[in-house]
Amino acid sequence: MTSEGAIFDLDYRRYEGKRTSRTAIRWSIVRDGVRRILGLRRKARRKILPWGLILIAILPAIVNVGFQVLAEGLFGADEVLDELLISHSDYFGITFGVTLLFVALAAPELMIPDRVHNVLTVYGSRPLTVADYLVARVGALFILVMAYSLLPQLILYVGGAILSGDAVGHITGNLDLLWQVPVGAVAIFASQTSIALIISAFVKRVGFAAGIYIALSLITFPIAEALADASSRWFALLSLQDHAQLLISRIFDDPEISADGPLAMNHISPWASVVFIAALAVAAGAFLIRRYRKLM
Amino acid sequence: MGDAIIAASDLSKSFGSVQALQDVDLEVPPGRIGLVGANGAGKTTLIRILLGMLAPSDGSAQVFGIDAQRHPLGVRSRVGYMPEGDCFPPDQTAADFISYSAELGGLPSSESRQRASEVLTLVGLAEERFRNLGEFSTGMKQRAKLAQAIVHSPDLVLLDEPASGLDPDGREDMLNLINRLSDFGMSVVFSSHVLSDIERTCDWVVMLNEGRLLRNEPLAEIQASNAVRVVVLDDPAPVVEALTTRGASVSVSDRTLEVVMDDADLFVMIRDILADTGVGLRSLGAKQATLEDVYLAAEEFTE
Repeated sequence: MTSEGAIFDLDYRRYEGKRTSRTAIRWSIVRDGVRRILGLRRKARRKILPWGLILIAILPAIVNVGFQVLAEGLFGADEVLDELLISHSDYFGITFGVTLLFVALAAPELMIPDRVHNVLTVYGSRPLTVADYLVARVGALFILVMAYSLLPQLILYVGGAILSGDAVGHITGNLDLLWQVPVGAVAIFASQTSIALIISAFVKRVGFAAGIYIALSLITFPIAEALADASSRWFALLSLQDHAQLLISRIFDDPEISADGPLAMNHISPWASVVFIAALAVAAGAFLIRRYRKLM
Repeated sequence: MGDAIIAASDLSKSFGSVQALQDVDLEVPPGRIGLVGANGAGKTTLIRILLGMLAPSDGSAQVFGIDAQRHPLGVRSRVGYMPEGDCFPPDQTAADFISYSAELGGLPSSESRQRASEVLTLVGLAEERFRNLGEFSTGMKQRAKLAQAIVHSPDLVLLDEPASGLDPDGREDMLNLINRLSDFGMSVVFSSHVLSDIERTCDWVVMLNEGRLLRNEPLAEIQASNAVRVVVLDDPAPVVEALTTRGASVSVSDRTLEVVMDDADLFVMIRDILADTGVGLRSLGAKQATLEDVYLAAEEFTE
């Protein structure tokens, strides 16, 4: 038996192949953003917070479904399903606080290191615009916030389908959930990320930015409440954390979810909330583009 | 100049009351171009305008014939840039970041990993490629910065002070690397205020001072001089006297003479004077001006 020798030239050679489009470059930035937020390809300690928060978000769903399976064996299926399974709208309420925390950490983690470590110079020297960069970064945040909101809902949904013993019947009987849950997740993303991104465009430390965002979310609730009581009811719109709850309560037609918030107390229409969120998003986008044009 | 890779016309840039660039007109051919000037001379401003990262206050700049302000993405798809300062996320490995930089430069993700590996080998970071960039020394960071600038195979690389902060060995390695880039078909603009680095590396020099263009020509032409340098073994006084009598301008430092005289064959004249005076000769040759001489003279002239 003979073997043929081969010489491999490992030295540098020019790349003469096909170049990708700007869209592909944007997707690269999205992938990088997802990896950064989740701590992928980074040391283990960078994974603790994001994956810990993901675990906290899905744990109630897993426990609920698991408990349901156990209870079904003990008490019979029909009783248990109606009495114990957490509803999808309730679940948004349960995970609202932890989603706020996830956004509070994810947005600064996505934006601050590029700015503080001057990586924006590298982006600025590549064939992409400031808008490309920002859209891709916000896209990464969108994917993760949606996944964060939808994953436990999916566990509930699949768990419910399995427990019902009639998966098709469960799906056809809950068709509304197929739009309510994603739209609820979009409401959470839209109402929570604008301010987090603006803060991340200024502050230099991730933890500090997260703290400012959480404090702002919490403090605007009593401030909006007080201003609405003392002056115009429209000041209730300033309650940042209340918008998502109001919208989810309307999406699921469950007024209990936002009953205690300044928006519901002051009879602010969900459409007014949508307009406020949209205006905030447009203002945040314009601000970020202006800010990053100076930086890149 | 037909094949200019960089051209600028009446290029000016001011930041408030500070005039960073003023009426710069230049055309630069492919090759290794040294961008010379003191700190604050306008080198980085010029580079950032060429990349379309900064809009000029007046005038225009083209790279490969592409207007840098109107079509910055067209320019950037053919250019690599190594900034002066750090530009790395410290929690990412060199392999990951360089691979990502390749994707940002338009390489498919299937190719970028392999390219990153090749480029990191080229810059001497093959063994460190799986270490986090935050753990890198200054020299390693400079190499990694060069790697991100060339990983997408640009036609032109803009290097802003690539040797700054390096020890002598690191500087030597960096200059050798820069010299090698032209072997791979890349033109290089090498910005530095260390003139000896430019002399060792470049074949064309763009000289800036306080935002104004001082010189823009081949290094060999800049260094050419009509002075003759003579080193004698004995007391140079008789030679100096004879040269001065014949109308030459002579400057003396110990036993070294620098002689300038227009419209004369200085070599023949000096040979004859040495023969007549009996002064021993150690060496005789055309004096090559250093970039420092030229820079200082040009600076003095503009003042």
